[in-house]
Amino acid sequence: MADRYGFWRLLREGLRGHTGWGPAWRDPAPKAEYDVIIIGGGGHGLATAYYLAKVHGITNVAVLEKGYLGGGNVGRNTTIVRSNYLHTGNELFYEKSLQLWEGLSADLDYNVMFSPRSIINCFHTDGQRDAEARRGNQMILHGADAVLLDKEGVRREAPLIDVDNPRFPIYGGLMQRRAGTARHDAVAWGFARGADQRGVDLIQNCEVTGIDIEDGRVTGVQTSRGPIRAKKVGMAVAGSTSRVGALAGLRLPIESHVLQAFVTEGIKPMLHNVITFGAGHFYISQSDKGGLVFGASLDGYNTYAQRGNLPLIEHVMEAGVSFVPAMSKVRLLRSWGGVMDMSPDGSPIIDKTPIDGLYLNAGWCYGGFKATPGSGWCFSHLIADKPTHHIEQLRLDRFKTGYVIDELGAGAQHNLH
Amino acid sequence: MLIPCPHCGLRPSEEFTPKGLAEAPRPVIGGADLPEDATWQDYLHTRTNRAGDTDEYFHHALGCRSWVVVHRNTLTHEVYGATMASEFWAQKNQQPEQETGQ
Repeated sequence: MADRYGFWRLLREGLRGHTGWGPAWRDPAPKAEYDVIIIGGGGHGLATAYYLAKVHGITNVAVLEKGYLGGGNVGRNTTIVRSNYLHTGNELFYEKSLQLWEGLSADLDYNVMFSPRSIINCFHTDGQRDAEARRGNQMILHGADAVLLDKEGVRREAPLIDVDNPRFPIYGGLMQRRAGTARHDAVAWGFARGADQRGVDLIQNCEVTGIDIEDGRVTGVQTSRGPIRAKKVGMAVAGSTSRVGALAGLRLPIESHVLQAFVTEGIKPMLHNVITFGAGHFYISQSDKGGLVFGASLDGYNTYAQRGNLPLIEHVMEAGVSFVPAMSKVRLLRSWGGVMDMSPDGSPIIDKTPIDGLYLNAGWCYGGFKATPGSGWCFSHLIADKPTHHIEQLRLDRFKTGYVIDELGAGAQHNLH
Repeated sequence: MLIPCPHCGLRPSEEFTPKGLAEAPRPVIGGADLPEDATWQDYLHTRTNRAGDTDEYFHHALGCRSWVVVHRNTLTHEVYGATMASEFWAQKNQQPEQETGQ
C-alpha cells in the first residue's frame, strides 16, 4: 500500500531532497486469467476499475491499454465538468457524475484540481431564453442547480464578453454554479493510482486483437501480450468503439469524428467562468496557467485521425472573436483533436451487449470528460450485476425502440450532435 | 480537404456538408411489405465505421447542391474520388467485391 499524499509526506520528502517518491502504480505482466477485464486505460476504464475494486470488492481486474494510461481523450479535452442537461436520461447520469466530482480529490487522495467556477450558457433570442429556462427547471427538478441570468448578470460575471454585440446581442444566460473545470491528466492518474493500490493490474502497451466468444458468452481476449481469460469483459474505448466492437462481431450505432480544441498563450486572469456562445457553438474557459482554452463543433466528416482541418479552425476563431472581442489580441498556442465516438442521438450508452459477459461503455460524443467518475461508477455497478437507475435510459437498444435521448432535437445523424 | 465533385470539379471541403457513412442503402418503401426494423436500424443508426477506406455522403451545399458519395480514408484524410449519390448504390451492387480496406 503506497503512502497517502499529504502535508507530512511532503515535508518528509522535502527534507530528504525528494528521493523517496516511488512510481505511483506498478507495471505488472498480464496474468492468465482475471474476473474482469476492462479494455481501455483512459479515464473511463480506470474509473471503472477503481470503483469495481473500491465499491464492489472485485479486485482481480485488469485494465488493458494499447498505448499508455490516459493517452487518449482524457488527455485531449477542454476539461469542462457540468450537469446542465434537459432530458432525464442524461441529467440523472451527469448529475450523479458531478456529485462524484465534488468529492473526488478526497476520495482518490489525489488532487484532481476540480474547480467549480460555474458555467454560463448565453442566449440571444426570446426563443432561446424560453428553452434555457425550461432546461434550468429540468435541472432543478433532478436535484441540480441552475440560475437564469439577465443581460446585466452576464455582464457582471464576465465583463469581457460582448453582451451588446449588434448581430447577436446577449439577452442573458443559464448558469450552473457547481459546474467548472478539472485537471484532466490528474483524473486519469488519480484513478490509476487508486485502482492499482486496490490490486487492479494496469497493463500498458497491450493491444486487444480479438475477443473470445463461446456459445454466445465471452471467455477472454487475445492481446499483443498473449491470450487472457476472463469471465467478464468491459469495453471503454471511446473513439475506437467500432473497431473493438467488431472484434466481437458487433455493429454499433457509432461514427468516429474529430473534435478540435485550442489554447492560447498564458495571460492574466480575464475569465473566471466557463462560458458558451449561443449564436454559434463556442465554449471558453481560462486555465490555471492563464491560457484561454476553447473549442466548438466537430469538423463534421468521419475520421480516426487525431487532427482536424483548417476551415473549422477559422470558424472557431470567428465565433470566439464575435463573443469575446479581446481574444483577437491573444496569440493561439496550440490546437489538437480527439476522436469522438458519436452516437446518433448525442447521448452515451452504458449497457450489456447481446453477448453474455460483454459490456459496452460508449457514445460519449463531447461529454466524456465530465462523465468520467459517473461512467466508472455506473459501469462498475453494471459489471457487478448491480445496475443503478442513473443509466436506465442509456441503453444500446434505444435506437431500435425509439426511446432516444436527443438532447438537441437534431435527429438520427451522428455528426449533428 | 479537396473533394472532386462530379459536376463542379475539385472544390474545397467547406463547400460541402457531410451527412455520415454510406454503408447501407435507404430501405425501399412502396412495395407490398414494409422494410424490417433491422433494415431501418442499419440504414439510420448502426455503422461498421471502419478506420481506413470509407464511403461518406456529402451535400455540395455551396455549389451544385448535388448529393455525392466521397471515397476517402479516415486515417489519412486522403480523398480518392466522388460519385453521384444517385448512381452510387447501382454501381456498388454491380461490384459487390469492392475492396474496403481495414
